[in-house]
This record gives sequence, structure tokens and C-alpha cells, in this order.
Amino acid sequence: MSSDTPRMTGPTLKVLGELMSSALLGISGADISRATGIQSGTLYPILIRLEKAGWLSSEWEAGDPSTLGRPRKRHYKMTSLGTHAGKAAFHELVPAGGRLIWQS
Amino acid sequence: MAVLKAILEGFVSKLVADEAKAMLPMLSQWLVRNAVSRLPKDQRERYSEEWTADLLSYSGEIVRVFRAMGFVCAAIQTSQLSIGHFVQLAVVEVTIMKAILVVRIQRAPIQFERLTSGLIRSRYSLEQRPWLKDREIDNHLIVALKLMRKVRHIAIMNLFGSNVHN
Repeated sequence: MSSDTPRMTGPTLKVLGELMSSALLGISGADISRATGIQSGTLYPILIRLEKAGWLSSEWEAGDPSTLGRPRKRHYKMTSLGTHAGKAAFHELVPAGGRLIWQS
Repeated sequence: MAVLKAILEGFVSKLVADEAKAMLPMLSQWLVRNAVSRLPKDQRERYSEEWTADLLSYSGEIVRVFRAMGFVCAAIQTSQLSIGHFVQLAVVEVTIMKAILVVRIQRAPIQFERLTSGLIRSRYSLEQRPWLKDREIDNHLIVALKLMRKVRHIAIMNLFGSNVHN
């Protein structure tokens, strides 16, 4: 975990929103891209920064590449620190009463 | 005559399209390798697998190429390489690739003296030996590739000093 707080840019908020809505399952970079429309060149630096700050954790999908027949995907999840910090960031930016993306 | 020309044009454009289509997967793979090589050593294995899996989850070779280009941008940002540095490195690499192409196509000697300007202080050149035979040309090429890696490493060292992971 690092003391560096990630910058809250528009794409970062979109990524956080997507990660929060799939909090338990974990989601791959490609799926985040599809859901948010953020291109790989913008997405991965954000994921790297968030993971470095301790807001995200990541793990390989279950299975062996030889049985899967392809390389394994890396699944990203919010940590509790990331969830709290992300919610705080959204509360600052979303007007009171606004329906937050992860509240469904 | 016009019909023959149209048939020929169609044939040639199909050949070119087929060739380009066959090269796109190689281009994507090359871009992933290039992106990964810009990352710190301890992260390369992870991102090599992660980004390859990412590419494979998309169908369509052109989409994959664009996505792989994004990985290069991501790696540059992650390694804190500025666009200016990237352009400088690209110039170095293009110069070396041009030199290698000269060897392959024209069988002419390689001269690396253009690399002496600004970024790279060391002077590199390969001896001019016009009587080189095919096998020697291949050896020459291997030397050139090794040199390319070395020059690139020196370029990165000049840019980042001891913070380099290469």
C-alpha cells in the first residue's frame, strides 16, 4: 500500500464505478474496457496506479493456461481501502441524492 | 484492356490485403512484446500474460492491433517515459532498423554514425566489408541486432540513470 492518492480523473472514476459494481466477482481489464469504453492505453496506467495505492487487488483467474488453452486473465477487485476511498471520491463529486453506480 | 487492368488490380489488391491480414497477428504480438519490454523486469511476465489474454478476448485483428498499441502507451506511461523520450527512442530504433534493412536488401555496410547526435554519445559503426558472403551477412545482421539492444539500453540509461529496469 502506498500513501499516494490516485488522481480522480473522469476515466479513473469510471473504472472505480465499474469495479465497485462488480465488487465480489472481480473483473478483467478487457471487460472494464468494454463496460466503460476506456481504451487500453488509458485503462492500464489507471489500474496500475490504483493497485499501487492499495485500492485494488488482482489475481489470476482459476485454471492452468495449458488446460484453458489460452493465457490466464487477471481479475481486479476493490480492496476495502479502495471501496471507502472510492465512495468518498464519488460523494465529493456526485450531487446529494444522486444514485451511485454501485448501489443497486 | 480496361477489363484486364481491373482484374489485375483486383488480384493485386487481394494479395496485398491477404498479406496485411496475415501480418496483423504478428504485429499485435510484436507490440505486446515491445510494451512488456518497457516495464520493470519483475512485472514483465505478469503483463505479458495479462495483455495477451486481453488481446485474445477481442475478436478482429485490427481491434487487437489498436489495443496492443494502447499497451505500448500504457507501458510508456507506467515507466514514466515522456512522449519526448519515446520519440527520441523511436528515432534511435528506426535508424537502426533502417540500417538493418540496408544490410538485408542492398547488402551494403551498416553505418551507425547518425546515432552519435545528442542522445547517444558513444559512436558505433560496423566495418565496411563489401566482399561479405551470405552467411557473413547473416552474422552481420546478428551483430546489428545485438547492437540495437545495446544502443536502446544506453539510450534508456541516459534518460533515466539508475532508475532503469531493463
